[in-house]
Amino acid sequence: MVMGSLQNSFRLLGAVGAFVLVATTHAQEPEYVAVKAGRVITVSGEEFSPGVIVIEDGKITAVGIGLEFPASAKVINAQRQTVMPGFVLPRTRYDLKRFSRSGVHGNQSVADEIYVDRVGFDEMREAGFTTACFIPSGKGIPGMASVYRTGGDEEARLVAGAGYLHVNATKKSTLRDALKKAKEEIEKIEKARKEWDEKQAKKKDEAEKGDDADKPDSDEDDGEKDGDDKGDEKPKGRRASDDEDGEKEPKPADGADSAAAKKAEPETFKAPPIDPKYQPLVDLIEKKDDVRMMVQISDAAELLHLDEILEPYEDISYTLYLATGRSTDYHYVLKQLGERKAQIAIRPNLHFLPQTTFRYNLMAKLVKAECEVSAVLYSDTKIELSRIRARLADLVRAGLKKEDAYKMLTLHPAKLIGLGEKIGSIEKDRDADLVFFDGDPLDPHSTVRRVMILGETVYDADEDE
Amino acid sequence: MLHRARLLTLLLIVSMTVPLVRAGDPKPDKDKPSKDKTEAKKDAAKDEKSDDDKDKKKKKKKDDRYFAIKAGTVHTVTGATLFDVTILTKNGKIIEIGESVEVPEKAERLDASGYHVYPGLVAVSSSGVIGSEPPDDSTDVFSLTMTIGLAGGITTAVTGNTAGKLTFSTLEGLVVKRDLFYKLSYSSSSPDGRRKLREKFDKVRQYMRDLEIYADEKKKDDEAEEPDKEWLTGDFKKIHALMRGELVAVASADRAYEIVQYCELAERYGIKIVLRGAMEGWTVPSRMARAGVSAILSIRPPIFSTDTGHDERINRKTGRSIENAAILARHGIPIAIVPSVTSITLWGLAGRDLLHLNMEAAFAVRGGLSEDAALRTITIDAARILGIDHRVGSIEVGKDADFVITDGDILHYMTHSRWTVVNGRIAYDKQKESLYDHIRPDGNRDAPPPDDYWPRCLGTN
Repeated sequence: MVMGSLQNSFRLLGAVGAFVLVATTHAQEPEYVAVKAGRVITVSGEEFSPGVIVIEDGKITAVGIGLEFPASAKVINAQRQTVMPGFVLPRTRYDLKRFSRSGVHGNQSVADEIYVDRVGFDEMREAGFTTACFIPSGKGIPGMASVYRTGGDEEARLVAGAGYLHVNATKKSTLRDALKKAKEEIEKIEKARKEWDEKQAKKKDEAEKGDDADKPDSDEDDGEKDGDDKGDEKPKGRRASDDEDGEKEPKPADGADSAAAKKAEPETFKAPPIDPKYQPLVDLIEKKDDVRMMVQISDAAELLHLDEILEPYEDISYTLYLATGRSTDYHYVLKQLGERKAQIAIRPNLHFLPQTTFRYNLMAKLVKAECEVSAVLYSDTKIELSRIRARLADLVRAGLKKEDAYKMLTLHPAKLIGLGEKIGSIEKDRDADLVFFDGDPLDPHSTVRRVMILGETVYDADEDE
Repeated sequence: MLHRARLLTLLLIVSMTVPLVRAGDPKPDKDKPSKDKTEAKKDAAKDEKSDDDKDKKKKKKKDDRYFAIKAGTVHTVTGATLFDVTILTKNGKIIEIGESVEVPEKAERLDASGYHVYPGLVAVSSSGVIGSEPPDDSTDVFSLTMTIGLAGGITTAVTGNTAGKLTFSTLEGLVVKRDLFYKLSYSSSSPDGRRKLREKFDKVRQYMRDLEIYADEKKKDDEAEEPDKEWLTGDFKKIHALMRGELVAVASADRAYEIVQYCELAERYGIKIVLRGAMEGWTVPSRMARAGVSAILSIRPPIFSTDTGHDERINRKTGRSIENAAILARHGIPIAIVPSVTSITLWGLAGRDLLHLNMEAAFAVRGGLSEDAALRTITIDAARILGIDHRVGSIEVGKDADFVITDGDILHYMTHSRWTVVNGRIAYDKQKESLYDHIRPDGNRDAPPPDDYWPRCLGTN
C-alpha cells in the first residue's frame, strides 16, 4: 500500500481522534478532501448524481450537488463511480478460530483473541467493508463482541464504546438464570446500601442525642420544622443521611464518643463488588447507556421463549440474530418482530418456507414489517465477502427494495453495533468511511475501486494494479 | 353407524334438559330482553369475583378472550351427547354449553355445524409434539410435529414427567401438570434393587406407624417424643407421599409375572400403580383388578424378539392380544391407550405412531371394547390416570376449552380433524395447513380454497 506523507498524517488523525486533533493541530490547516462522484448513495437521505462529498479531518462536512470546497482540498475524481458508505458487518468470526466455551462470561471480550495483523482485514476492505463487529465464540453468553475498523492505524482499529453482549438463547435457562443472577447482584448492593444507611441514620440519631444538650444551633434548626424533619429522615434513607452527614462532619467537637465512632467507620458507601461476569447484564437491567445485547435465536418459537425470559425486566433493550441453520420459520412471528421494530441481523438468502420447496423472501417481509434488518455473511469466508452483494441483489429481484438492501449493509448494522451516529451513512458529521464502485453496488459485476476510512484511502484498486 | 341409534335416544333426553348448564359471563345483549337476565347477572358477578382473585393482574393487561363454537354434535364423553348447541369459552375455559347461549359480540366464532366436537385427545406418552422436559422451556410451538399431532386430534401430551398442551403459536397455558408420577423400578433382573426398594418402603411404613403411636401417646403424655423425620427427604419423601395416596407410581411391565409382582407391591404397601405396557394383562385381569392398578397399553404392541404372540410350547396364555383392552376394561381396570410408537414418525402413516392415537383406540374396539369405552381411553380415562381429569378429557363447563372437531366418528379411519382447538384458540385448521387439505373425504374436491390459501405468507401482500 502506498502511503504518502499526507496519508501518514491522516493515520495520526485517525488514531488520535477528533478531540485531541483540535488541541494538537490547532495551528495547522484542517485536512480537506473532496470526493467528486458520479453518484452518491447517502443511504439516509436522497441520492446525488453527480454529487460532491466534502471531508474535513476525516469527517464528512457536506454532501450535495456542486458544492464548493477549499482550494487546499485533495480532490478525488470519481466521476464515473458510485460512492456509498462503507459496509458494516454486524456479526462475524472472520478468520477467528472456533473454540468452545459455555456459561456466562460477560467480563470476556473477543478483543482478547484478535491479533489485528492476523485477521484478513485487507480482504474485508477490498470487498467494501470498513467496519466489522466480531463476536466471541461459544455457547451461552460467551462475552462481548468488539468493533474494528478494517483499515488505518493498526493500534486504533478497535472502536471503543461499540459492540454488544453476545447471547445465545437457544437454551432458555442460560439467559434466564444469568439475568436472575444479575438481578441478585443488584439486590445485593441495594441491601448493603440500605444497611449502611440505617447504620448511618442510627449513628446520627445517637450523635444528635449527644449534641442536643450542648448545641443551641441544632435547636434553632429543628425548631420550626421538627415534625417534617423526623418524618423525612427515616424513609428517605440514602439521600437524607448522605447530605446531612456532610453538614455535620465538621462539628464533632462536643460529642466525643460518637465522633470517634464516626471516624472509625468509612464515610462513603462502598458497594460490594459485582461479579464481573454479570456486569454487562447488570448494566442492561439498570438501563445504562452504551450497553447492548444481541440475542441469537434459532427459530420463531425461541422469540416467544425470549419474551418470557425478559418479561420480568421491563423494556430491556436487545437486538436479534435470527439464525437460519435449523429453521427459517420466522414468518410466524413477523407481527411480533414488527411491533417491537426489532433490530435484526440475518443471513441474506431466499430461504425455503419450512417443510416446503417454496422460496420465501424473509428479509423483504421483515423490512415490510418495519424491522431494521442487517445482513451478515452467509459464511465467514472470503468469497462471501463479495458475494453478499449478489445475495442481496437476488433478494432485490425477489421484491426487496434497493434502498433497503443498501441499508442492510450500512446504516442498520451501524445502528446495531451502536455506531448509528458515527458511521453507516453519508451525511454531515459522519465518519468519512466510503466505498467506491465502478457500477451499481448491487450489480455483481461491478467492483470495488476504492475504500476510504476516516477520509484516508485504505484501498485503491488502480494503484494496486 | 352404530352411534346413530344411541345418539337419537340421547337427543330426546337432551332436548328436555337444554339449556343444560349455565355459568359464567355471557354479557347479555342490551337490545334483547333476556328471560333470566337477573340470574345471568348473578352468575356473572359470581364468576367475576372468583376469576378476579385468581388473575387480577392478567385481567388488567388483557381483555377477556371469548371463543364460541356452533357445534353439530358434541360428544361430551362424561355426559350426554348434545346436538346443535353452542359452546362458549372464556380465556381458554368452557363457561357455557347450550342451545340458547348468548355469545358476546367480541367473541371469536367458529361455525362447526355439521361437524362432530370431541374433547381434545390425551396422549399419555409422547415425544416431539411438545418439547422435552421441562416443556415450557423447550417447546417449539411452531414445529411441524406439533401441527401433525394436532391434526391427529391430540391437545394434551405427556413428555418426561410433565403433561403439557399443544399450544400452537403461544406459550400461554402450556404446562398442565408437573411431577405426574413416581417412577418405580422393581425388576426381577435386579434383586438387590428390589430389596433396597422394599427397605425404603418398610422404613417409611414404620415411620407412619410410629406417627400413629405417637399421636396416641400424645393424648396421654404431653412429653411424648415425636419420631425422627430428618431422613424423610428426597426419595423417602416421595415414597411417603405415595403411601399416603398423594402420588401415583408408574412402572413398566409387559409380562404377566412382572405385572403380578407389581400387583403384590401395590397391595403390600397400599400404593397406586400405573402399569405401562401391560401386554399380558389380559392373562391376569382379576389379579390387576384386585390390586387396583391401572394400565397404559398399546393395542398393537411392538413385536418382541423372544415372543411374538401366543406361544404354543408354553402351557399358559402368553403374548399380545387384541382383546387386551376389552378384557381389562371388563374387569373394571382403568386403561389409557397409546400407540406403540409415541412420536410422529414417517413410517407411521396409517400406522402405529402418535398421529394415529384414535386408530389405536379403534383397534381396541376391534378387540371387543365398546366404542364409548374406547373413546374414554384416549380422553377422560387417560386424563384420570394422569390426574388431570379436572382440566381435560371431557367437554364440561369449567374445563379447558380443548376440542377436536371432526368430519365424522373419531374412531373411523376416514375421519380427519377439521379444526383442533387448544385453550380456546384454533391451533389447527385443516384448510390452512398443507398436510391434509387436499384430502376431502366428503368428496367435495372442487370446493374453492380459502382466501388465504396456503402458503399463506406468499400471498399478494
